[in-house]
Amino acid sequence: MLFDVNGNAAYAFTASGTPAPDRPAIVFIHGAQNDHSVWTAQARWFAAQGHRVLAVDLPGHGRSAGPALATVEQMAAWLLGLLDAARIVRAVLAGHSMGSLIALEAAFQAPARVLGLALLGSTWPMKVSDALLETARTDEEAAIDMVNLWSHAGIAPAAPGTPPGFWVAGAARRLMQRLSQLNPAQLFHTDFMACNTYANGGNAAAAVAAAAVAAAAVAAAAVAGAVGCPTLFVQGRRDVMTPPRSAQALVASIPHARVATVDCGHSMMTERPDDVRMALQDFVRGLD
Amino acid sequence: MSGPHYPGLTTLALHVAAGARGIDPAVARLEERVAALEGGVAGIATASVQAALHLAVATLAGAGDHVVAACTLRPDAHALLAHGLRRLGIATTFVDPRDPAAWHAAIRLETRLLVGDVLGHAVLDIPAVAAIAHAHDLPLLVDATLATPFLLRPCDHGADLVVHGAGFLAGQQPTAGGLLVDGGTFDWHAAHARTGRHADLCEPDPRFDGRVFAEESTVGAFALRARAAGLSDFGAAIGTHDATVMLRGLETLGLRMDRHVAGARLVAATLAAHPAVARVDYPDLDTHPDHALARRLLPRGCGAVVPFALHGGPAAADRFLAALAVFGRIDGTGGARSSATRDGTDTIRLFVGLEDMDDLRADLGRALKLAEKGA
Repeated sequence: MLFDVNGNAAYAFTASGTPAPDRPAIVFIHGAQNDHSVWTAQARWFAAQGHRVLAVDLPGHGRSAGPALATVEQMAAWLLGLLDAARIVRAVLAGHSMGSLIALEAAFQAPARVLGLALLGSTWPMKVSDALLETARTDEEAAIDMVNLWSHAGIAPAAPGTPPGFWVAGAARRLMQRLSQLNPAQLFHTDFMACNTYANGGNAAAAVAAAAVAAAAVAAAAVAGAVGCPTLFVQGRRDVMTPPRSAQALVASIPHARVATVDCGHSMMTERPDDVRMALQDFVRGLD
Repeated sequence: MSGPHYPGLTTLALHVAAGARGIDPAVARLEERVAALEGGVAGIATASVQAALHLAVATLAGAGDHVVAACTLRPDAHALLAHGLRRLGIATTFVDPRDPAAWHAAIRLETRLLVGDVLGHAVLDIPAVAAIAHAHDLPLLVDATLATPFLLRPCDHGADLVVHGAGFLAGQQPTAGGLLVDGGTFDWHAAHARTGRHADLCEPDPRFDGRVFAEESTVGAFALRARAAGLSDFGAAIGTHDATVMLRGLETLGLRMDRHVAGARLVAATLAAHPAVARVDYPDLDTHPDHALARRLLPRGCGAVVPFALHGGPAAADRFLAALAVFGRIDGTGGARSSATRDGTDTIRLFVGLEDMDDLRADLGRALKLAEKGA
């Protein structure tokens, strides 16, 4: 379904189903160089249960028009604009990777609109190595292949996969290639920079003073602390993009958060669609 | 007596755990492995390569639609398009695959896909034909049975869909099976927006509760619909046993194809050097018109099929075939045993197997001598 956000077409996959008034709306937010289709398994399931679902394409990704946004703060503001356009007052926000930062930031910008926060494959700070940033800038195809390899517990076929017959890692690679094709303007690099610079003032200078780092940590802690809404982390046990260990500080800064662990890598929604869906299902059921 | 009540024997024998999916694990493994070998997104195993081709066409075209196909397709595929599907209202125009202008000229508003085969009579210039297809917002399907993913991955060169027969994948002639692979390269949504084509993938499908396959999967819409609609309607699914045989065969695919290619090269060279032979159509020979293209697309070799013709015409061809001892006369490709067939013309097609190469050379030499003698 297409919406209008700030004069640009904004697409969200809504799946088919009849929304029930007592079920909360769920908004799914994809990560870097991805689109709504990484959430299809979960979105379809929740739609069939009577939830209104929106699996968004961020601007410049897939079917949403406009240039890719450069910061997580802008993406969160856009997401809140999309909720306005869709006339959704409050929703559960489920974000993956970069999308988890967007969900977190949206909850900071408009806490009253967030019923619950599901952060999948999340960490903070979400540092992207200089080498990967440079590869994404100069050779996007190579960066895609590297990230795709690192994002799966293994690239070998995991039969029986979901949907049947799909080679999950191959589909993920083609999806990232398609996003390059649709938006040749350095999409991957833009997304990575947004992850890398989130809550860091946009300043990625190498020689950051130790005091500045501490200040940034305090700022992020303030974001997390201000959330105060039900929060779920879903972590991939074998995730090397956002390893569970790297998220310890973020998880600890939201003491009431629950943590679910799934035996897979970073691309958890497609690697283990049922396990991820069940973690979300338990979380959403617990909100009532 | 108290305690838990366990189900009875017949109940246990019939039931599966709640939540267990009713998917044949061998079939699923085969589909994913071949998709991975092709570098695509999804595979669908079928009962034959004919079924795979039929499934692909039926997923994209209906009555009133149109297909453009290479005139070099194997006879069964040609017959399916020229007669079987025409009866159901899907028309096909056959073109010389080496003539880009012919591909261009044959495409109409109702065209839904282009179909070519990669080896056999000619080497398909996949990048060139794919460019023509994509310029018209059409996908290119390639029958890569004779190449296998070991020699060529069509989607790396621009093809969007690939079909395979079981033969070389299984390494055994009698295996029944086929594969349809969605390369994930074609943008159905963009093509639909520009031309209105591919509405079945891009608009709500009343049959499936309004599902839109191109929304559910940005790169795998074709595979989703082919399985949900086509495989279900036509039912040409593969059996567990054949899927298992193909899976076993895949383990030795590279070893076998290397040996097939080495044997075919030797056979082609032996024939080319023989005075009784009028021509040899093996693309690996530098006399073949597609030789440069084959070097580019098929650096590991040009497969196991060596077509050639004798100076003596059909009569000499029949004498040659009758004299063969090591080469058998079994139809079907991909097995360990070499075989020879003749189509309606004077062209003999040798399928080079895995026998000792000296025996193959000796068999050819003797049969060529006998074919010459009778003249």
